[in-house]
Amino acid sequence: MIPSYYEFINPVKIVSGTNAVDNIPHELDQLGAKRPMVITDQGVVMAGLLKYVEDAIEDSIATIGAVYDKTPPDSSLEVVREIAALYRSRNCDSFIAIGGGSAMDTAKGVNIIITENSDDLMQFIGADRLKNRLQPLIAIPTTAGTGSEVTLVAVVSDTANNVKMPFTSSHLLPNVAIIDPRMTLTLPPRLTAATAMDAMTHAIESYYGTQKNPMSDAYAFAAIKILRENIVNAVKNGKDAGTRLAVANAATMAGIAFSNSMVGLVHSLGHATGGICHVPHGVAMSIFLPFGMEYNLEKAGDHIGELLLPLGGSELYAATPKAGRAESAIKIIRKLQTDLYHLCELPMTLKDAGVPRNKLEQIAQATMDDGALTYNPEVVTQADALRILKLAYE
Amino acid sequence: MMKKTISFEKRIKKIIVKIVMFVLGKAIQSASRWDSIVRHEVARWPDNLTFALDVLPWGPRMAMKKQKGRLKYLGDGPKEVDLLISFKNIECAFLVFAGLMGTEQGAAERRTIVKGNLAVALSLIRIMNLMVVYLYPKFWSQRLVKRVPRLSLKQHALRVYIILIGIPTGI
Ligand SMILES: [Fe+2]
Repeated sequence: MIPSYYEFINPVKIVSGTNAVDNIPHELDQLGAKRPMVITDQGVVMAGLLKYVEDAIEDSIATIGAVYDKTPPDSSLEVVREIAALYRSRNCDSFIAIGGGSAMDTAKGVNIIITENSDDLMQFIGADRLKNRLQPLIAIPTTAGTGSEVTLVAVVSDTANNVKMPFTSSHLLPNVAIIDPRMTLTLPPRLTAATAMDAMTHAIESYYGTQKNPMSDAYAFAAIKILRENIVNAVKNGKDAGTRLAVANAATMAGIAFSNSMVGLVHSLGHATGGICHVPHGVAMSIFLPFGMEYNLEKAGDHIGELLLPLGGSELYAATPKAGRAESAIKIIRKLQTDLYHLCELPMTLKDAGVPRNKLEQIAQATMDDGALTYNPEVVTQADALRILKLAYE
Repeated sequence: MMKKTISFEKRIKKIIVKIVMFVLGKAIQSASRWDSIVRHEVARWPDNLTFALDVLPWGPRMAMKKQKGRLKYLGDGPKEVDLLISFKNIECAFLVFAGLMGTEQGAAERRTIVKGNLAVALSLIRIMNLMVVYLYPKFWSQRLVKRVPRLSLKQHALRVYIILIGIPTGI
């Protein structure tokens, strides 16, 4: 059914394929940029990925104006200010963000204060506060999961007050997303599994969430099929460039889906668990996903049931009566969970993920403060959240 | 900015939204005194927090403030508030305030813009959903909220109290 009203935006140019990074000079030229600043992290540098970008730009009229390679896992206000000062002093005119969500979010944060010519990022917190077109931003994801290369949100931590500040604006969408299989080839198995399950969760939650629409559905549906066909192989044979490219593409598609149809309960639980017990986001997604689907069976069972087609293939879908499809889809996710556990010990329970049982109450309370709950089909009370946390514990 | 001539229909809708805002404000004010669920929600808000609901670009608008653990209806209230939920236009505000669309459905359809404390916004949505359950009959409220909770005897009494005394007096 077509919703009576919805909105959808995705102006990001996707440049995907073998050696796609080598096209950066052309993309910079198209954006009118000559002195990009590279924002990345130590992981990317150590894996030798920065080199690909440097090599590509070396042979062009553009020059890298500055490199910031110490982005922390959670970007913070101080880091954003520090990078902005560097950007100004080196007269840069654009950004290239290489990394996971943090490098891209940091670049978006710096871009805000550079464009608004202010040092106070706080005044732009929230939704739709930016009125000016930002400096060009090229995003190169290296984790195949967060989807930040196609999302209009940036999250920057205010470490002094221990809060995560969200910024959302269509201006925060990068201009170009470059998906080059070389950039994810070195991702270790467990991280590969965790980030891919994050992408899977983006696609699934956006497909049954209250904001779902025909455009986001198309991206979500296609992403789930590609992920289902490639996750296990990406974990087993990390060096297979074709598989890596497939997973990275699916992660980007899932990003487009959830940027336009918000995720729900699984993410709320994951954000709360991550905030309190520092469980990596993808690990939390993998643990909570089947529970989130189960919890929404009554309200969104039909939509979840439709997912049996991309998750289980056409034969299983055709052989399963409509009433059993949603349950069957959840079973496949549980099976995937077990497979990933055996392959790379991706935790299946909160206990395995190192969450102390006495933190569950606190996590349940924090879950209630997470915005994604609004878009979950079924209402969630603190008691409901606690019940799910206990189920997911062991 | 110069005000433009606005159609009769839109003016009527603005008046209706303003009236519902008054009713909602007084109902929440009263509930924050007597209702344990609302009290529990508000207890977690920062003291002296102010919030407003408004309609872009010129209103109507309602604001409330947390004072001594309770919420007080302020009418239009101060210009600067800690949490501002703005409806993009009067047509979508009318849908929600006239009880034709749930608050969360409105948010899902991106008919509102939230500025400020997001955790309080979620808490406020839960309070507004409870008010929907109190103020509308069940056959109607079940179209507006995801789940209509079973009301206790005490809540049924409270519901009658809010409608008969809470809204007119704010007590
Ligand atoms: Fe996620």
